[in-house]
Amino acid sequence: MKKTDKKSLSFLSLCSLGMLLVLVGLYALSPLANQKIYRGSFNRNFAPENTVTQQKILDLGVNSYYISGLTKDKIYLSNYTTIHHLLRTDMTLKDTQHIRLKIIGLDSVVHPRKFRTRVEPPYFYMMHGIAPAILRGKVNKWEARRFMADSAYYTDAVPIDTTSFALRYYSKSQESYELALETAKEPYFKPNYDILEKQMDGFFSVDGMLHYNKELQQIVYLYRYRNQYMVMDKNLKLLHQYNTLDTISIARIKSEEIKSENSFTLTSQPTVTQRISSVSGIYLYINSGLLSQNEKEEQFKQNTVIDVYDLTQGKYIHSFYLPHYKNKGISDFKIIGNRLLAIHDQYLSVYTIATDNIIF
Amino acid sequence: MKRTALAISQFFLKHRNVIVEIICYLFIFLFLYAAFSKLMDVQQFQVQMSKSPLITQFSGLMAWAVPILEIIIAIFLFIPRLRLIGLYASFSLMFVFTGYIFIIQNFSPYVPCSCGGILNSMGWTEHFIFNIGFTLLAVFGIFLYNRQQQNAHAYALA
Repeated sequence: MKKTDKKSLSFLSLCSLGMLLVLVGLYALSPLANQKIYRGSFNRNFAPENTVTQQKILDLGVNSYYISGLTKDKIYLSNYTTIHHLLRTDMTLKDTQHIRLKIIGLDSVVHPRKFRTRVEPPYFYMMHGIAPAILRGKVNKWEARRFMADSAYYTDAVPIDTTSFALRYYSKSQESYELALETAKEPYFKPNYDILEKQMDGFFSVDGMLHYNKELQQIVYLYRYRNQYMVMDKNLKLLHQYNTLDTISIARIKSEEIKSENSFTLTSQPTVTQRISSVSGIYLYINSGLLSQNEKEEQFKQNTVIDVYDLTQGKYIHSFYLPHYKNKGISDFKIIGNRLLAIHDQYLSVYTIATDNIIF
Repeated sequence: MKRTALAISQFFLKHRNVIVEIICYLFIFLFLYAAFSKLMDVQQFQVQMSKSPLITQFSGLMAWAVPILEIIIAIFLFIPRLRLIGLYASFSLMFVFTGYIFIIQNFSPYVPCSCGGILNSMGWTEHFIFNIGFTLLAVFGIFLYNRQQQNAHAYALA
């Protein structure tokens, strides 16, 4: 080895050491080093243990399934990536059938993967907010076609009945997401600007989840980054405005505009108050992203917490944990009667809820 | 086997001046390309960087500092007298980039994107390998530089 090589080697190690220090410094100063789950100033009231018990598990093979329909005895699963595919199974998870959905009269769609399927027997719906299209077909025939003048662009849609839908869309005039009703008969499209209230930008601060509750015939919209949900009737008239457990009433988000792309993006990691949710019966089930005062962080990280609210009174009832399965939290869940279905990555689980433990 | 290895190393030794030149120009091209694709839309670059958990606080400063640093290193590599410093600087910068990707991939709960131009279409793993490749290339360049003929400009004069 030459003398200059030795010199180079020591110089290179010096450079590496310096750069390592830079990286360690960046890491130490970054939020990664002290990741903390936001702890709200509220308490959770946990239901007795064994309120919810895991009964059966089905390996789906891939993690891109979501629950697209649920009836007393049937479970329908759709796939985010293969939109023509529908999986049907029963509560025992033994009998699984693969169904191929046909789209008729719609040749090409720009982003086919934006199709979202909903199965509400006797119909199923395939909804695409950018095409835009709402297709409908009979369950058992599995052929979806256009059936109404659906010309409104939207970001989320849920069927109310067979000819009307609740939409969330981006309103140019309001510069914000708004809710609207789309119907097969007049008035076809009816927005209601009085429900969503923007704070800062019109995207993230009003982002949330849209549900339709069949039993109560009410539309529910739940904000993702703050502690509020709204209950509306079938005509999108606001009935109630309720708060969830936590106290974040102003969305804790930072968003910035990318001017050259004319788009908005979140810049810091936001505090997600409501991650996923579901409605069933008179209840609203929310998977919250916030720790309560009476919870251990370790426990919170190993479970998915579900808070249960009574939609008729806007009251918090209790919470329960769904333990992670194979170290995976849940990405989707739905409830019917005393059964809870959840997707942990590539596994579908059926839980039973002990009804005598529910305080009415 | 031994003979081919020997032949390869002899090939490199024989053409070391040209190879060092090629390495330097590869780096110059890479840095200038990276710098200008960032500077073309600094605002977007800055927003993208602020999404990265590792550098979110410094995104305003870094959006300008990184491309300017890349240009300065490219100039160093272009001037023969400053070439060695340029190679060490290239090594250091690629080292940081590689380490950055390593941290993002292993410790970040989500993976943001903050790279410009054609590099945008590369996945993080490919990017990681690409960066390691260039880091090693700088080391190789430095060792070949040590073996450069002292009278490098002699035949230029002849």
